Amino acid sequence: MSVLVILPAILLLPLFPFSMVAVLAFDRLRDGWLRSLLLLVWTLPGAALLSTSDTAPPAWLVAWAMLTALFYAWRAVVLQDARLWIVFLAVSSSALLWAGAGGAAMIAKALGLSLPIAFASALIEIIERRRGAAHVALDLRLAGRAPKLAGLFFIGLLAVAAMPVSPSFFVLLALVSDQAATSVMTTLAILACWLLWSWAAARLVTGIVIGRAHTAPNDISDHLASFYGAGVVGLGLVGVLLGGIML
Amino acid sequence: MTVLPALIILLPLVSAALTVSLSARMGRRVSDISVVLIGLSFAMSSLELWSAVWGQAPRNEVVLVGWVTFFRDPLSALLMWVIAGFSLIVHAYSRRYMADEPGFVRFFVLLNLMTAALLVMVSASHLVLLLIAWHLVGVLLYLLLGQDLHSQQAQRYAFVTFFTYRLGDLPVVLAAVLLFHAFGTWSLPEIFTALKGGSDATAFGLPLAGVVGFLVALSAFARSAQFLVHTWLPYTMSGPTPVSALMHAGIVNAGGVLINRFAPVYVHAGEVLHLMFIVGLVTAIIGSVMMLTQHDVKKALGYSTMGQMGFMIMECGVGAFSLAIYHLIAHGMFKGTLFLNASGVIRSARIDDGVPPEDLYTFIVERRPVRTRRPWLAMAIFTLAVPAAVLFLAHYFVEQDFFEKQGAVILLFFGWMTGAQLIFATYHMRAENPVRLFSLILVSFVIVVVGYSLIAHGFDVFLRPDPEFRKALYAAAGIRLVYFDIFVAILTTVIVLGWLYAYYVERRNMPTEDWNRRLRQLFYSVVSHELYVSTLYASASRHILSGARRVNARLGWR
Repeated sequence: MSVLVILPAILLLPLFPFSMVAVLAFDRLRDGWLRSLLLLVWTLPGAALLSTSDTAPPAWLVAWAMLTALFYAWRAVVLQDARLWIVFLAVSSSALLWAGAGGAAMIAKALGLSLPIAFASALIEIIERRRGAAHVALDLRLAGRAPKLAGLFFIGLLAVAAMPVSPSFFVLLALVSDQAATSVMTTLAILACWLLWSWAAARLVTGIVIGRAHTAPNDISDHLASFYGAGVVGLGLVGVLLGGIML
Repeated sequence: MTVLPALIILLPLVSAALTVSLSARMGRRVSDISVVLIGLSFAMSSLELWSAVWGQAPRNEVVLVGWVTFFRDPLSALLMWVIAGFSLIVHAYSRRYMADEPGFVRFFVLLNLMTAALLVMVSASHLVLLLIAWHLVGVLLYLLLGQDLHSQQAQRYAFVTFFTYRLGDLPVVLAAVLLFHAFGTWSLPEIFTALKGGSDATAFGLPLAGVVGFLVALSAFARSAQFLVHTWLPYTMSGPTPVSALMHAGIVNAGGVLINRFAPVYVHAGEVLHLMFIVGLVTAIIGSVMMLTQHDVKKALGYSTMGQMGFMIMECGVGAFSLAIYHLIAHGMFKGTLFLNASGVIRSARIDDGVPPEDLYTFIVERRPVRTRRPWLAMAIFTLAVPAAVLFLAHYFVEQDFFEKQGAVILLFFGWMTGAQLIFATYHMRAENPVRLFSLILVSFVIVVVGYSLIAHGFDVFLRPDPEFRKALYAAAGIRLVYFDIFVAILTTVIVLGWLYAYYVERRNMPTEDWNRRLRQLFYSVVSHELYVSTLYASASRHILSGARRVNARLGWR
């Protein structure tokens, strides 16, 4: 892999400390819909760049990427603001993409990781618009106040944490498959990230969804719930489709 | 007939979809649909089991589309029948039990989905499908345990369970990927066929079968609450009782099922079977000790399940894979009954505590002298003599090399321990009539030893019809005879010394030495704190989280 590919790729699929700029930019972006759209597409140029090279990146670079992915996954566990949480997860997953560099279907892998993130980001935007913020400290107790929104939010977070049959599940399986034969450490790093994402998602669910509601329910409309429900089904179908391509 | 396994799985999914779509119109009566459809699924699984037992349908694989392929073997037929049966009971029970609970519809949807996921898990013949079902069981259990959205305690322990399950999900992912790399297919039947002739493939510089067997065992340990990954099990009682029943009767057995499914791998991974035996043994002992020291009945039940799971893994460790399946079914029935009957017992006790109100009865019961004389020595000799007699009789009348059949001897040990437990727990070594007591004990021993031998053989023949494969599994589990003899000698010595110590302490009324008393207090303290394992994990977790908080603050959350 040449330097001409590596240098821009480090910025497009940002590794720490360049990742701090990406976090800052996404966090500053006020428009939630635009943020969701950007979260969907931002890894694609980097993935396209990496897919131009048939050879794997040097070991030190993959190690740097895995450390970045682990670093953000670990830090995401304690985050209480869902918006920042989703950005941390986006940075962590984009760094993981380096593990697939030199392999097949890089664009599919990038899309598979960013689709659930964009979906969850859109749901976070709905919560922020209705409640002011999607923050644990606000004691939102969504399950009691907005059961439909809570259910969708829960599924969205599970999809981000690579639960079956979300696209990210198949991407992580493909990444483990790419690395299992070559590097034990990279394989373990991917699995550790998977675990940390689940931990982080479960903590956020507990903080935002769970609890007895003391006010009257104020849920999203049936139409909106059906729209996002269709999105959940779509995520599953895309997951199965991507799984078929990658595995 | 080939669509039968697919229909058995499809019906709970249809039930879940109908429950969601019709709940607004039908209200709580929507649960009737679940019960009927799960009942239908159970009827079909009975048909499938019947055809498996009588060999009326060719046993092969059902390929629906792409990854959606299922085993059609005796193991999947039996387990599907068990799961559909337990699920039907739990569904029927939950209709009334959950009637006044919030989230009634959600509960039934989750129960249906859990049934479907479990059915897929035990029958999937494609590794990706198996992984999907394996992961989904963990997520669905998390939701079922956290059914009460207002209970912080239920949520906390649901989270602990979820995290442990995630920990256990990952090794099997790696195992699946390694198998795919080695054999170029995700299909389990193809992988097992390739493994038959032995494989010289390696992973990470080690023999592939050993690595895959180890990873699968790790996943099984987490699911079946083996020591060090057991902390979730005793605390999961905050969920609804039907969920406890389903979990203790079925879900927790997933480890044993997974190990059984990968049995062809373990033919080439004897060393992993030895590890399983040790882990199972330690878990069985610790689970039993913990059970005896709990003040909370529910936690005691949790630790009892842990001990039983230890036995199940131990059975796999000696190559008795089919016996482990019998064990998990028997334990499931027993524990499921206990849980589902719990509320009835409490209700009965509230209505009638069983003590007649007459003063005369109370006077007699309270003042009846406790029988203090116990036949210790006779009992000790008896528990030693019967297994030894069985061993020698088997040697002379069944097979000359019976002493060398390590699995059989270990199982005899298991029978011995179960018998000894019977003496203590069931008969309490007390009886008005010693002849009757000894007869009961003898019958118990015979039932345990003969029952286990016959059942083990019956299940072996049904689940693993190939005698060469059965022999290979037992051979893989074997160790060198000299080590085995040493192991048996140590176990015998420990048990005999235990008997002697208990005898002298009680019969001779020995004064307890100061150091001895302090040692016992220390032991009790450590055990009552559950060996500080949970405390250690909580402390590690706190450190990980506080470290992340500090780093986040230092970097300005960027």
